[in-house]
Amino acid sequence: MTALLSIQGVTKRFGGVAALNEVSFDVGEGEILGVIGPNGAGKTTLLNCVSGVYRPDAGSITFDGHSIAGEPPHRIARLGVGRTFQVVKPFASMTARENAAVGALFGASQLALSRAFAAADEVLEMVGMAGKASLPVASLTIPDRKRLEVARALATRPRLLLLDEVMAGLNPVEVDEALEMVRTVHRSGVTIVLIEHVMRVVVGVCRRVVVLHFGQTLAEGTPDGVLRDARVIEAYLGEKYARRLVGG
Amino acid sequence: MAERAALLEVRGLDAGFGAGPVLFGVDLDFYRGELVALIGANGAGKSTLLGVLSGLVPAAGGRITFDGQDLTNARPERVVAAGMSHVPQGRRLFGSLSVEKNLRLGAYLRRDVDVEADLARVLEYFPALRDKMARNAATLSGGEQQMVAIGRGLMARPKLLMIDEPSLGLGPKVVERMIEAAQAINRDGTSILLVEQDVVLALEAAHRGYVLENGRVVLSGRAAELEQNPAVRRAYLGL
Repeated sequence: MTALLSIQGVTKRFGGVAALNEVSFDVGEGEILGVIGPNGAGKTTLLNCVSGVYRPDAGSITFDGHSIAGEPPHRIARLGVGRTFQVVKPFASMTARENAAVGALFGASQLALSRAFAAADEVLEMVGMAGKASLPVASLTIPDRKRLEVARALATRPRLLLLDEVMAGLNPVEVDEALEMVRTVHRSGVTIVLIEHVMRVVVGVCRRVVVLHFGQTLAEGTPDGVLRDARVIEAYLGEKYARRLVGG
Repeated sequence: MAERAALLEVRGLDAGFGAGPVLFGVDLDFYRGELVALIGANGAGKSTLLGVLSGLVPAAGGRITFDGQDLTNARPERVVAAGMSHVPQGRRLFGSLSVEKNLRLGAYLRRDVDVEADLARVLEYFPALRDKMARNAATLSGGEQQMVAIGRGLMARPKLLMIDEPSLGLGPKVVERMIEAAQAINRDGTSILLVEQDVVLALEAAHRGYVLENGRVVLSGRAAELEQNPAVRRAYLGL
């Protein structure tokens, strides 16, 4: 598998604190990679470095052969990197369809308005919101707002999609429905990096997981191996939860 | 549990805001000393119910009696003074104020002299905050912010503490710690109403539970029984 995204020795400091300290890993084309770790481990900082919100203090980030570390967010988005935000921020006065269309107007393909709406309908269909396209955002439930956040990112036509805790706040049944959405997006040919605390998601869709802890890579491997790793249990899962995962 | 005196009694509560009605004839009984879990899908009305109890969302009908007082559509400050405090979803801290100030703001309405003792008590539940009292709340990790939010609720010295989705955005180990803290606070005598998406964890911790669906209470009972209820397992546990 060739690397679509390559992160090498990325360091990001805030004041004296290294939020990321020489983090390195590759993401292969077509992969779904999970990034897990305790709150404050640097997961969102990492996504912010990849999507151009932050400029790393050191290290390189290569996407599809382009060096993107320190590039502005819009340029990275147009190269084909889409992302969602933990706290969804839709345009509140617009419909779901209009929100998704903004992504299509702005993103890699920069479509004309009429084609943008067609593209919006396509991505809303993919995330299971075709029937709610004309609803104003204000009337959407939290799970639907999360879906719309994914649709807006997809509308930019990304090859790599960065998902930041899209399952947070969903109950287990809603999580299962959202899992299906992630699988559908992946089947359409999009490479995915997802940050997630909901372990059934990580186990459900990721072949490989990177664990961050205090800004460094604590472990890397299959979900099964990583979640049995004593260091990961100590730092992140806790004994009780780990027992439950392993089938206690 | 000591005496089973009703602390909170909700009868036929209706509410709605913005897009239309959200709660329909909700009945709820809460006894002193209990830890009660409120579960349901997103959009079922759980947070709205907490909002109505807090006086943040108007009740369109029904009655809320707390500790002998009618608190239906009472102003939030009266609700807090009566002994109900609300730890909102997403923490809602004052990010540019220190942890200590955030905590002390929870005691804003109090005129008694025990505030210092309660501050010490919060730090006993959450020792991780001890060396972070001077830090701005915005610089804390998600788990620490949730501790401050619960601590701020406690600083009002409530009889009933309502906690809305403490696990939101937190890693498994921190969630576990948050639920353990809720149980410790409850054992020390504060009644707790817990809204939580991690249904297994919530029902394991609680004495009783209510299931809210589309703004109506559809099931209630002992937590252990709800956890075994096939409808609950299908609808909320994905089993």
